[in-house]
Amino acid sequence: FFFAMVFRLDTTMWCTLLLFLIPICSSRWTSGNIDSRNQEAVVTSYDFGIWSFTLEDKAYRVKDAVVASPLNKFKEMTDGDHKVFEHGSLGNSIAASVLKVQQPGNTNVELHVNHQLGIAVSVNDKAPENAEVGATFTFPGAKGIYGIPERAVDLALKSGHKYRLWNLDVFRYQLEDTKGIYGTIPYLMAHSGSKTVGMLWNNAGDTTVGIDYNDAGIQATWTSLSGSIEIFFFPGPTPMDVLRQMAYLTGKQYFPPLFSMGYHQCRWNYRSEEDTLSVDEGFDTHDIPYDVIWLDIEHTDGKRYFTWDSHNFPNPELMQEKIAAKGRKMVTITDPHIKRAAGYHIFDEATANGYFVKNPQGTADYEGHCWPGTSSWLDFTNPTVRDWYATMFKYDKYKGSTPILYTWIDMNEPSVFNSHEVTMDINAQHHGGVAHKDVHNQYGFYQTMATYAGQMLRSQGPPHDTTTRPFLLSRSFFTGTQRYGAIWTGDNEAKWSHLEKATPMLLTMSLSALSFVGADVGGFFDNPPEELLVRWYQAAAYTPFFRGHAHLETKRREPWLFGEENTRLIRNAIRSRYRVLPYIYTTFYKSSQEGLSVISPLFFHWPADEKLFTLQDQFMLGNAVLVRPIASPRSDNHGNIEVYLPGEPGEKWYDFNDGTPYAAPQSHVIVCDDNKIPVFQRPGTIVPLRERARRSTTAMRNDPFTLQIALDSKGQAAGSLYLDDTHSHKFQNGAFVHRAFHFAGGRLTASEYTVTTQYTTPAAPVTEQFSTNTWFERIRIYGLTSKPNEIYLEHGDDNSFNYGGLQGVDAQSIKERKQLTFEFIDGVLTIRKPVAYLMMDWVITIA
Amino acid sequence: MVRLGVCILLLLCRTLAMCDKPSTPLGVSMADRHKYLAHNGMFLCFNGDTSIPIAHINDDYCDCPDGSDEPGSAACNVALGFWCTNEGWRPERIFSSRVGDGICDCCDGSDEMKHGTACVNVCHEKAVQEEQERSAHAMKLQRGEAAREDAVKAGQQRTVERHQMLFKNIPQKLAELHYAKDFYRAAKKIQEEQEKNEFRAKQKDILAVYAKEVRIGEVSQKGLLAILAHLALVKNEESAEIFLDLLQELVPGRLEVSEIDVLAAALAEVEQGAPKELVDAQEEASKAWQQAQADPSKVVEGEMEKLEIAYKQAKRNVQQSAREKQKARRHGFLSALQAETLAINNLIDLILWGTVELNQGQTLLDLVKARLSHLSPAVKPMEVVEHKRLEAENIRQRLKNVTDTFEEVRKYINQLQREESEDYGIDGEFYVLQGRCYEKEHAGELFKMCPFGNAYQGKRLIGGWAGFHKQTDWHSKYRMMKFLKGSSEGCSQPREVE
Repeated sequence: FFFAMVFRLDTTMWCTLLLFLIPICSSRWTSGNIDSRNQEAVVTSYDFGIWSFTLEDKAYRVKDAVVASPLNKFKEMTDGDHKVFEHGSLGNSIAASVLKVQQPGNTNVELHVNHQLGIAVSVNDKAPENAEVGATFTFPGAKGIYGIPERAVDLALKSGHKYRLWNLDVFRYQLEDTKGIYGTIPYLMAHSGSKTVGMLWNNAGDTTVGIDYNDAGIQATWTSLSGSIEIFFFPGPTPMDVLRQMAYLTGKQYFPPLFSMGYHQCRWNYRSEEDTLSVDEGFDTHDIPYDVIWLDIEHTDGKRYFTWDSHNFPNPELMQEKIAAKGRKMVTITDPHIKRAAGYHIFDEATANGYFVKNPQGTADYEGHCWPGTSSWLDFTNPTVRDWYATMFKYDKYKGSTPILYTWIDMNEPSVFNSHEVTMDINAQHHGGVAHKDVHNQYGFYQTMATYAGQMLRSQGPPHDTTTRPFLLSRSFFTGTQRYGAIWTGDNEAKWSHLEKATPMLLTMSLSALSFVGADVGGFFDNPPEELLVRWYQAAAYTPFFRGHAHLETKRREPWLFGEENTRLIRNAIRSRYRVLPYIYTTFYKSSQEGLSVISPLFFHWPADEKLFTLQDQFMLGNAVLVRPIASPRSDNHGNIEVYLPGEPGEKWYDFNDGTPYAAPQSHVIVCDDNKIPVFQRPGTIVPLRERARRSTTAMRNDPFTLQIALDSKGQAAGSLYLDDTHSHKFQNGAFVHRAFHFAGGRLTASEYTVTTQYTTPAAPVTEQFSTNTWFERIRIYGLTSKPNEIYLEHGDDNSFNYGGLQGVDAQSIKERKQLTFEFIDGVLTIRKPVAYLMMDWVITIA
Repeated sequence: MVRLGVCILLLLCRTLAMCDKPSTPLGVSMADRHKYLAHNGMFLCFNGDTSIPIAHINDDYCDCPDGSDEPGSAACNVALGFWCTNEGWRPERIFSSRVGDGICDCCDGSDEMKHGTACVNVCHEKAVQEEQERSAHAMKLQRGEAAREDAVKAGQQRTVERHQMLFKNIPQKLAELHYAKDFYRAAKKIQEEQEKNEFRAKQKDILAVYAKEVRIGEVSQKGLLAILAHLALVKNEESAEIFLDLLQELVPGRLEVSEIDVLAAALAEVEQGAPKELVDAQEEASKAWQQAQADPSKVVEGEMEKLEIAYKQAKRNVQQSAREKQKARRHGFLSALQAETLAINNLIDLILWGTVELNQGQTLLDLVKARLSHLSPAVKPMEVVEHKRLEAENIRQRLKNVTDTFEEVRKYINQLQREESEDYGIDGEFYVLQGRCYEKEHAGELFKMCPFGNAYQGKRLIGGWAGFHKQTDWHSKYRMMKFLKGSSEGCSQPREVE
């Protein structure tokens, strides 16, 4: 398998586009740079065989999306009319020759790349003034192509479809609409079964991708209405390699604090302190765990973000103290539009310093309408504005904020109510005279960058001398947003079809290196039927970001408002999330170090199984848990849910909760009552759990763990558990514990986790330590065929870990061999209370 | 036998001893502690079919499927809960999920006792605080009750007053007013008759002098008839009626004149002018001529003059037709009045008094001037005296007062009837809000809300009273106030407030 590309800057294509977009093009035509454009083709190499192709010119070039440094430019030689690029350091990797005829208006560039993948590129640039850019790529042999979020479409992109990449606040976005919604990552992954490659079209302008499946493979035609050509290629060869190469280039998932992986309760709007605290109390009254309560735009003084409505929220600090007393957090919203109102500190400072985006003439601040009425938009593309904005989050600046207050940034496509396509004038001027159309898709991304910096800044210095890991949720995103925050799928609807579509939407973002993603539980618009609400909680409990949210005009839908039985079902669903949090936290940590996503399509794990290429109603959480959301009512499915379990013949999957075995690779019909959705544990895996019901992640911090082991056909399994203080950056200095578990030959061994891949971020020198007395209360094993005779535990005596951390534990006595009690029922072995310590090496022998 | 008895006694004692000193497990209430008695060193889970070693009770591991073995820890998800003794306050059951989570839930701190979190016993403080809150709440309730009672009283009192007004006081007052109105009307008629006579007497002398000054006697009969017709139709049927009255008064015995004919003549459609076809013809000719003038190059020689003539002729036709119609109307009037048979002095009297009644001094002067070329330019329009009889004025004022009072009473009745149909709550307790307004500043805007009235944002009406409204099915009917149909300026819908 290889891929080949044909760049065609073909005049006829531009004319078609020009018909629709005359104002955009004509303004560029009059800019006067036409004839002086002198393109320089540059080929650059990066680590892991990633390389880029750039046509250097004066058009706008995307900044800040790519973080990896190039190894070096290819060595350039001239061979008559050819330029030859050679790269020696990668052995047989890339050698390129470029034919470049420098005649203004008639430039022919052909790029022939001799690569182990057999890439052949030709560029034929005949656009009259090169105002716009485009290219066609062919992926020979490809059977599926994925990526280019965000829109509510299927996981596998479809032949004959043209997808538009232009961030917009689309009111009640339509399923299957190929136009873009809130965010963009101009990235594709093509997969043949035996080989996977990827590409990033690094352009933030109005872009279209046409997909065409033909005999030769899959063709992708990219066109952008502004900006320049800068393309990155990821050689794979597996889907996971491509994803990790993308994450290496654009940044790995930042490691969020544990609380943000708990359940979030949101609504537009909790109307007052009293209302907010009564919802908080409601979770306790009904014994339902949750971690964060959210305040939407109505909490502000007339939509002036960073302020409070003095009538409904007269004492925000006290309110937050009450929330914090239960170990919980709060989030307030700070949108990018700023009310034009003298006396509002953000407006006054931004006006005085010229921090707003300017009108197309550059003569005054750009103005438009949004929630507060007439507003202007902060120019987050300007580093000075971002630095200034970060200071707005400081406790003395953001009155009424406390260390448990985190941030939600919405409407940052940006949404402008009274403007074309509900977004900013494409000719509005940004910092340095850059037209909005050049940076449009990055606007929200830059706000996440500034907000992240704000949360970092506020937690520095006494009395908060431990830098807290930020948490923010943004609606808009671009390549690289994974470095700063979480993303949700925006204003979805309370419909079964929207629950169903959430899975492919989240998978598409995940395979584009954006891991911390979720869809609002219940659906934002309209009132969900009770059954839909319950099913949504059950599905979302296994997605990276887990939040319930609702429109202002919907009925209240806190989990306990639908009768005792539904309250029980929702309680169970949310508890199922908290139960797997140790596994999710470990998976997030690995994602932050290695670049894999938290959830992924099944073909990532079984790339050769063609049944999985379009499978989108199931997903993998980490590498061990398979989830099949139920997105249809019982009246349709009668409780019979079909699930396809891939893998090698002879292997067995296990029901995650009761250990029932299911043979691979085949489809099974799983009978599900109202309390159950199909969730399975993959053979050969070990999943750490915390099985005690609690009210928040903070309340779980000292609880013992359970290890749940699903053996493979050889009687083996492996897994790991990562733990740290859950909220600070001290882990970067070694203050964490990461334990590996292996089961083989009847022995379960706990040791230090040392596995690294070539993609793993190199560890910093250890300067700080983390210690915990936490222990294992239960080992559960699926897949043993007979009841053991005896089971015993032996703690190791090596000193590779910190005994000092085990307060009040007699290190000598626990090293004695200890007989363990156990039970073996219906093929499930449960080892009772081994009291094996997380910080120590140990072996449990099953004889 | 004795030995057996001792044995039994010993056994009993052992059993009793165990009963005497039962170790109540942590988190278990006194009422439940008997459930944790051991049977042969084993504990029977509450479900009745699982037995576990007694040492497994509260050993921080969940053995019973129903969670009953862990009343004092969080090891079980389905536990019955944790019993806080809370001495000094009152016992309380909390969820097992709260035990040992680092947050002090029981006021005696017993939920965190074994888990390393230092909790201060705050049961006493809690009791004090609860008592304070309870009494504060009771006082608040008391104040609320009292306020409601007052409001109910005010509402009921108002209902009694309103009924007194609507069914007794007002009907009485209305009867009085009707009587007064009839009385003053009759008196007014008499007084105004007298007033008129006095006025006529005064004006008559002026009239005689002015008749000479304006030399009306020199106008021919034909001229006098024309002047009469003009004046009589100056205000159409109103002026015609005045002339009919004057005729009765000044020329007794002219009863054979048909009032209906006179008025019909006065009402003839003079204002409509010429027939439509003539007007249309004029329009057409005008257009044709204007077009020709706008672009003379397209016009055949000599054609222009023809068009001009045609237009002028059409215009003349229209004017002619209007003049004829007016003439016909005057003629109709005069003949209905049989004016030609009137004596000259009667004609003059009619003209002069008509001029006074209609206040048309200038018109008369103009009409005479048009017929007497030798009339001195110094002649001024006739003077009309002012005459008001004091008694007539008084009566008129009194009648006006009565009429005004009627109007007020009618408004008052409306208001009372609105109140009568308004919903002031089950016991009328919301009546006290009637006529009151409440203001609040929010986000730089002043909002003003008047129950049973209007709601404003600044000066803008944002809704009119639309009654109480229950927010949801489980709320009181009087939960919310609704104001609908406010200004829709700048909005697609009229504003509404809840």
